[in-house]
Amino acid sequence: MRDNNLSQYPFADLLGISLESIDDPKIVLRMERNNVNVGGVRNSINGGILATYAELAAHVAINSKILAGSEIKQTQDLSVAYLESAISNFIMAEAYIQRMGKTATVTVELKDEAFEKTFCICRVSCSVGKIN
Amino acid sequence: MAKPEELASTLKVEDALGIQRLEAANGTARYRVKSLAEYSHCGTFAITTAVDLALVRAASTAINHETEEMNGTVEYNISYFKSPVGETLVTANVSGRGANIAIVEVSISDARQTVFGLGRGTYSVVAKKKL
Repeated sequence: MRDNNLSQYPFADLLGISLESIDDPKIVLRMERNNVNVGGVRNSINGGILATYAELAAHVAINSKILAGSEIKQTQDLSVAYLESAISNFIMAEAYIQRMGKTATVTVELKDEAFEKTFCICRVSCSVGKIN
Repeated sequence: MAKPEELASTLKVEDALGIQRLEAANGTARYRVKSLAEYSHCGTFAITTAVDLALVRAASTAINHETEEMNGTVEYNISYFKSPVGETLVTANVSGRGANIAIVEVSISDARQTVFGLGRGTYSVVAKKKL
């Protein structure tokens, strides 16, 4: 476990993102609605921010399992499907690692704070390699 | 063109992530993502947001605001085949329109216009309700 907080992601604070829990195999983050992340239709959280939030959750999940001496090189693929406008006060991100290797794949669901409504379903793949 | 209030709603997001909107007209929108030293280790995060902003803005220039309303992004994907280095340009083009959707293709390039990522998104459009 190399990454037990979000200090390496300087914009996480700005976007109201905090780490809720890391319970293998599930990582949970929380994003509070604020005047930066709102901007979508129907006064929802901005869709681009939701995708970045999912990407960040995937990176945190991968970093929680990554071997010493390795690092995420970059995001390779990201796909996001928006199911409903994210209008709750808190948006929870549940990230599950599907595969670890040279390519790590994570699925992320963005939900309301009661985990009843799913706003987005995302899949993020990242290349992983040795630290230069 | 998108209505001013629709574009204004994204200003804080852009400022927070170093995203700068460039021109938008006739189904095309361009954004610049600044190379911020503090984000250098996580180069794609701001681009991910910029892709959605660009595709929404491109779609907004391809709808009839008298009869149609913007209804939100349905889905989008991005694939990177090189690591982003330095300032990035995100260009979104509406490549197809249906009654209720706009299909938008996105290219992500560096300042020399070398493309290192591609994306595609679907944006939902609805007819305005008649009063």
